[in-house]
Amino acid sequence: MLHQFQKRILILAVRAGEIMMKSGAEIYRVEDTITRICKAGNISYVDVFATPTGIFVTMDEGSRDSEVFTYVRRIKNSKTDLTKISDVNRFSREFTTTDLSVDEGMNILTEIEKKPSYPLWLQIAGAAIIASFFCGLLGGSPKDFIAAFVIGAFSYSLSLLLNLAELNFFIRGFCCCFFATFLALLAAALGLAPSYGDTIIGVMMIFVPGVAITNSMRDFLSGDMVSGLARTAEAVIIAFSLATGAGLMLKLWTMMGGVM
Amino acid sequence: MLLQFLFAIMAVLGISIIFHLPVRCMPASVLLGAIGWVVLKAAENAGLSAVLATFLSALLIALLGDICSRVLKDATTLFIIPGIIPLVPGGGMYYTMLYFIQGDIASAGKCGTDTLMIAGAIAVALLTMASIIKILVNIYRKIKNRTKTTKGAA
Repeated sequence: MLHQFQKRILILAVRAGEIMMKSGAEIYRVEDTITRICKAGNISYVDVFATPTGIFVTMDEGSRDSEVFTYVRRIKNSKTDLTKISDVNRFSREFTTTDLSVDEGMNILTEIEKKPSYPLWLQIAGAAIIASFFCGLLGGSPKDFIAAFVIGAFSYSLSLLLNLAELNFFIRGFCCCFFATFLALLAAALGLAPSYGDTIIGVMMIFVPGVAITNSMRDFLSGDMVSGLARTAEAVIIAFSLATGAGLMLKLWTMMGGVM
Repeated sequence: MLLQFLFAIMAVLGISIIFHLPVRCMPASVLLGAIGWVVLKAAENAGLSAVLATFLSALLIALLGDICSRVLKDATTLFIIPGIIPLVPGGGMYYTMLYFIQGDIASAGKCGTDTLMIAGAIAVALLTMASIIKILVNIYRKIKNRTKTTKGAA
């Protein structure tokens, strides 16, 4: 019976950690959350090792003849979602300070996990706003601004579509930038985007690896070297994918005889 | 500069939407990101290099982000991420590629190095500020503990 309880606490803790990691939290926050939840379930020995691709938890009840439990959880398909990080953070505090049961905890976690992001049109509008206002900040004209708005919306929709197809982040960044550059050059050829460079950069700002840079540095700082390196590599690869996507289209455009 | 500030507010608002930032954190994050951008531009206008300007701006964002997370009791990343993204050198990435394609390897090399340096400046600024905050918090805790123990002794 006791074993059953231990197991359920472990599953709850790993679930919380998994949601956080998928949403793009730092490693120490994930490890902290899991340890805190396990300790709240009166488990004396807990050790967690989390990386962006997997969580390993081992725990022991602490008595002489108790068994050691280990749980390995593989993590796939992460998507940055700051609300989920904040919610699980709150939940773990609530779970440790109040006497929520494990089942209630499970229900709350399921609710958090299922919580939808902002509606689709708002996300696409958000991406369009990013593209157009960065274009403006970099000195684009009103025409470029409008072009960036439209192109940003289209290329972010493409990114969401590719996300559904579960393509990896390199291909996604590459395709989106390739497509965005094509549209920008097309708009420039039609006279709709006089300084198309600013338009392209504006759209690129939707996809820049800001999250990966921030998280990798925070991981290094708390001593999680493996994750720090992994996320640095992620940032570099994303940056490369964006640059090659835009670059290849520019090259093709000139090769096809388009004017730049 | 006011126009830059307003544009930056809108841009950061867009970023916080696609990363699903909770609505209660939005005012602080958006303001923080816009302040970061204006500081970057002001530093560049004052004649500092892009690398140094980015460094200063990222330092300020990390500091303000930490303060916001302590005041509003939420994770630090919620405030830092929307602020940092505008500093990421998307323009540098594009121009490096453009020069490269135009066959201007010298310019591509220079632009690429600048881009790398700017990205490095963001990283170092985040590390520096987080370390400073850690040291300050530790000192504060020690002082607090000491005053507690002396009180207990008296």
